[in-house]
Amino acid sequence: MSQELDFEATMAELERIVGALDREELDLDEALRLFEDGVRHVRRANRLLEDVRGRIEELIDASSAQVDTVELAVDATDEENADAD
Amino acid sequence: MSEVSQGSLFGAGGLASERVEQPLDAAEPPRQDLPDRELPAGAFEPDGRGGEIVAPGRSAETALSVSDVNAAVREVLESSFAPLWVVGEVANWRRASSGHCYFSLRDESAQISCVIWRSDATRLPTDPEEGMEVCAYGSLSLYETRGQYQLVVQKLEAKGEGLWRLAFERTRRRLEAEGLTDPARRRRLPALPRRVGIVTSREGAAFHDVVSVIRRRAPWTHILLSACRVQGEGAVQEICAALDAVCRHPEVDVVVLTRGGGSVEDLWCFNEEVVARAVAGCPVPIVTAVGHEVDVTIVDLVADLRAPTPSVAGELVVPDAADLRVAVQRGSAALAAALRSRARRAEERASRASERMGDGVIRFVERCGSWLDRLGGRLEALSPLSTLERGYAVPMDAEGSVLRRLEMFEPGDAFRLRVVDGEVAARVEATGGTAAGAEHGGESST
Repeated sequence: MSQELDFEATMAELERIVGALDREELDLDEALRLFEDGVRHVRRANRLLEDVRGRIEELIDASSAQVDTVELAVDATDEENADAD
Repeated sequence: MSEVSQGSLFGAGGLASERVEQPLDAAEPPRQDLPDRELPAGAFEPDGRGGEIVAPGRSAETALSVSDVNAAVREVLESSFAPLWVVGEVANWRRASSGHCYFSLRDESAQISCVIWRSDATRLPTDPEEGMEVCAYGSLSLYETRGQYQLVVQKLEAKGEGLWRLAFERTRRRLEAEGLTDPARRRRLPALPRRVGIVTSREGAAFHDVVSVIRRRAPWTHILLSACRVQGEGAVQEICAALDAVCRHPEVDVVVLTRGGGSVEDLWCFNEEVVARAVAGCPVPIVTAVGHEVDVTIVDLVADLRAPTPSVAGELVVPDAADLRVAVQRGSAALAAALRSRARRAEERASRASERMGDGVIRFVERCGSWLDRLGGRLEALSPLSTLERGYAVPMDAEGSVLRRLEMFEPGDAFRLRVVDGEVAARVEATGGTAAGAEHGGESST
């Protein structure tokens, strides 16, 4: 599953769990199971937001039918800024 | 404009227009004469009668041809006037199949013929409307074939940004008529794109701005640059090609088409219909950010979202990681709260249940108690103990059976006597009326 779907799905699932806990008269065992599920989703969502660097690429030849890319160096000030923030 | 006629070949004839009154460019040195090559052969030749110079056209003998005159007039016009701006209304605009444009500029009482050669005409955003007030910049010249002087226009501007505005409105109306500017066409941007395509120039500040913002907000996002020129010759085709290419990448979730600020002309590519159509046809949501906040271009009208600046485009296409973390925190807090409230509900119910249960038990116990009391009373009433209390004793054999009758006793038999506080071992001495062992008598049994 791609990252953004993963995050969104994770959050949606978390929301569903919270809703179920809020609304449904589950027995306590089931509620606890749901809660633990929810905690796992929170951990997962947090992990997805960890500071993984995306790639910066450039399409090599815009006119060709091929989709070839090359990694693009972005100068250091940007990286520093991004790090500082 | 005395310089025009001073020392001029045609000074006496007054060919230089009297109506041109002010010098048009002070920096331009006044012309004193014309280059020889423009003059009819022999015009300045000594006439053989003592070296006297006879100006051509001063007599029938030295008459000039029509072509010579027009060529000379043309030379005077072209050399005497620096390029100039002329304001007037457009009349009889005609774009010839050759690409050249012909029209007149006029005011209430006069008019000038104008021409725009194709190379300049292609730079016009659109044709002006009839009667439109424009400023034309160009050089005065003479169309020799007709002997008609004309303004060779290089730039044509309507008042303000009139011509650009006009071109803009014409394109906008065309796109509007096709429904391409309909807000209902606009798609939602993906909440969390994994790869953002950026169509812009590699060297531009706009690319830098977008990348910095995306890096800061959502550093995990992949960025794909599809580079193109964003102004000047060929830019329109390059923008379209770059857009097409970036959309072919299978993992681009959203596209940003951007460039930094510039003049109306610099930004003009983004008002071109063909670029607008490429934007409208973009298969993934597209954000445009062209120029500064005040610059609205045609592509903005057909894009899914218009950002006022490249940086804002960066903010619009990716979420802020900090916001997402807050969202996760909220989710986590909501989860904890939900469980707590669930637990509280359970607790309340349990305590209510236990309360109910407690009442029941107490009532049960109480009930049991009263039963026992009543029962106890009855049991006591049935108990032989009270009889024993009164001094009676019960003889029982070894097995505990009560010995009720005389015949149940044999002399020498051992038996037990149950008294109120215990048992007594006993032996039958004899049976009969006076038997000692029978003094407590079997009749005392229940």
